[in-house]
Amino acid sequence: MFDFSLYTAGLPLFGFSTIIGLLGGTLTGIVIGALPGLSAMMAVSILVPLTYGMDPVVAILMLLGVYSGANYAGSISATLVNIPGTPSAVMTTLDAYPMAKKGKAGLAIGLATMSSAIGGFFSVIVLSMLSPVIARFALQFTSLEKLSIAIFGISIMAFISKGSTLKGLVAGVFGLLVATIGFDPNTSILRFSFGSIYLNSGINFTAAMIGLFGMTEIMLTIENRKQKQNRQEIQKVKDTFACFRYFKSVVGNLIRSSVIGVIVGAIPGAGGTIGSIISYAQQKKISKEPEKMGTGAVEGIVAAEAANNACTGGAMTTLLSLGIPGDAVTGILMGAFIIHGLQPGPNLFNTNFDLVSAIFIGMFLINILILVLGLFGAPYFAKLLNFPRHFLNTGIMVLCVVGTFGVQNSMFDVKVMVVFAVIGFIFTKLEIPRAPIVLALILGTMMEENLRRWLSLANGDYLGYFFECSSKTPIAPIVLAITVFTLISPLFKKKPIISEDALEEYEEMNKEHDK
Amino acid sequence: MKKIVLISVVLLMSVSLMFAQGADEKETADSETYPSGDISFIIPNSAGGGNDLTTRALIPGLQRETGVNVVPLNQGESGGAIAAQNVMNAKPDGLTFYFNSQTLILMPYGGMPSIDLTQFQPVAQVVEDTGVIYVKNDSPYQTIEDLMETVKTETLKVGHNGNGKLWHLAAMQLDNAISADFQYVAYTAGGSPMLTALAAGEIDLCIENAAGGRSMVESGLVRPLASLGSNRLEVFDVPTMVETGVDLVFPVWRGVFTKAGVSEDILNQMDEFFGATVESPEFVEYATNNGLPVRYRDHKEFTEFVNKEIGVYEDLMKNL
Repeated sequence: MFDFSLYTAGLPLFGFSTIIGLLGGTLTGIVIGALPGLSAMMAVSILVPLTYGMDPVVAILMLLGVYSGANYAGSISATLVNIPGTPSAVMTTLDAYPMAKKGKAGLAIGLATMSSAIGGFFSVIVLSMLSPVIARFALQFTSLEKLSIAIFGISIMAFISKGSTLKGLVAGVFGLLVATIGFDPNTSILRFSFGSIYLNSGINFTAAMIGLFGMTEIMLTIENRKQKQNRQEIQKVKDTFACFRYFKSVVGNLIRSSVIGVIVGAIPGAGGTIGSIISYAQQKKISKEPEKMGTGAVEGIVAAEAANNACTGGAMTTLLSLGIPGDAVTGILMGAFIIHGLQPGPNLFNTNFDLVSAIFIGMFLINILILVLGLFGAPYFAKLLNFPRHFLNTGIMVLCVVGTFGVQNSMFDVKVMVVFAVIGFIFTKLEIPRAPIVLALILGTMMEENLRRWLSLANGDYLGYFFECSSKTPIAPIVLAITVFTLISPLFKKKPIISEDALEEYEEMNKEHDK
Repeated sequence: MKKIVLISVVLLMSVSLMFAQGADEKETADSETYPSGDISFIIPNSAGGGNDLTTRALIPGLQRETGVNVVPLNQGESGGAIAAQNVMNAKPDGLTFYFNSQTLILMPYGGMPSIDLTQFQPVAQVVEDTGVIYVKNDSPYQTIEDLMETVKTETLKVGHNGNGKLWHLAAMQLDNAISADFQYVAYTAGGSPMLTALAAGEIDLCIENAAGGRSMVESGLVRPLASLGSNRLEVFDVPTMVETGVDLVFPVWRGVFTKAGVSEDILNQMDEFFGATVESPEFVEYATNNGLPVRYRDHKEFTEFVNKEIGVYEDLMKNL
């Protein structure tokens, strides 16, 4: 018999505060996401500290609301001012802005809302069906399997990070190095602490994240302030409900893009941005009118938005079932889980069954909220685009400092945050992506711990023990083989994972924004 | 939000405390007026962990008893080293409490030589927990006797939570007591990954407390074999090691410390406060819900006990 308890056990947790948390989180996410330059990553990282005093369920659901809400709302500024509110909305700008220029801003936002919500729904269904199965399977994972998955995650992250692979690797290796500070996981001997007890347990992850994504972002906007705020004429947003007239014609597109989104989301390191690029490119390939894409085509908006929101469920699937974040935002979410005393991973389905259930239900509700808030509230969110940035920057800076301090009441962490903000700034100037650092910090610890443990378990006979482990489950050798293949494949054939056209378009977009 | 309000309150209070004490130094160690101000309760962990929740369960009762505010301060950075350092730098006025388990005793050996145990005055023990020996559910060892029989001929893999950490020492004591020859495997990320690895068959056994293994036992993944306490556990129906004829008791205690140098009068007053607090409804409810066995020792008993424990661990750490 099919056991429904996983989908109902969380219901009692939905009290007043949980609903308020969900609603508040989603709304905050949409507001932050709608503001150009404030990404989902930043939204989640600066809001994590606000949740410390909350009940874990409320806290996690609120952050999930922020995550999904911000991911969706990037499309609002993408439509209205041609600037993606979050990086993942970059493909949305291609069609949504031209459509808005034709005076159909409401339709564009409506389509984005509908596609986001449906992509989100789809991904929650996949999440709730697949993650328990994967988790049950993953309970059998030993150090070798975990090690190979961590290695895979780190290599793929460098491989698909935007820009040069080499620079992605630089960021990843930097993260790995930082992750080695503190006690050695196997012998408990201190490393790189320079005699300071503040470094005993390494760099605080949340502090580093807030620095890299909160503070750095502020520094970048302050630097760009010469670049006049886009005071351009903002289209009136009306008739958002018109989107449903197109529903029938884009059903296939919606499903296809959602599937792409979920799969890409589940790959460690690949998030909404890559998901929507691939989905958009795919749509262009099979479209009946490819020449119209980029000039305000309905299918373009649908493909980009459904995919980028479907990534949320994919990324959550690996986080919940394997304890591996699917993208940088879920990496930060993982930190939030740990702060609340929860260890994401297969065991979560045993220890916190009702919480997992509440996450499924909550994410479902979040997507309903996105649909409702998006369709009714779009005209109001549009007004946010004229909000003066200097007020916003000040507020976020305060949140960064207070939030970092609040992690463990430590001024040292605030210093760490500032140092990482500077590092993030320098990295951005050198065009080194920041996201691989987050994943390397998390996966690095995981990789080292499992590697060291596995080596100590092997008792010197590494090859023999490797075969012994592999004979039980062939997962490790398979994952390692895929990793090697992805790493050496560019040597044989120069074919990027994302098609050339899409990459070109993406780079053009970037150039336009950098101007 | 709550947290931020809390932080600002704490900040304000600590600032005002600083001024209050600066003005009148003599008053601090006077038993007549104790407690002369708000009490800070340092927790060497971040919010949400076991020590944090236990301390917070003590606070309502303690506030009623002392009549002053008791402010919890979470200082989890650097594995609790900063918190311990702050206790050592505090004034011996009885206004700084600190909550910890034997983790405190292990600190000087675990890469934090600057921590001086003589600076900590034991005030009250509130909990006495113990370790449970777990095996995989379908493990060939059905009873603790099976396990003891096997270790005579085979090297079993035992999981622990890090070199020189609590469960490592428990496993070492077990190793000595049953003359086993364990292979030690570290799971520094904590009890949950260790038990998962046990269920996956990577290790043969591990020791964790009852609360940590309960959900895994209930979901049928692992099985408890014996406990290392002096009495049987309430949650699992398993024998103690002493019952099986092995002279091994491994108490895991948690209690309250203050900066050394507080007068005997004040310590006696503290005994009254904590004696009543461990019986407060808030604390009793918390302990019952979490399966924590309450065990109260006043400052004299606790000091004696802690000193004995320091001796035990000194010997163990030498063999590490």
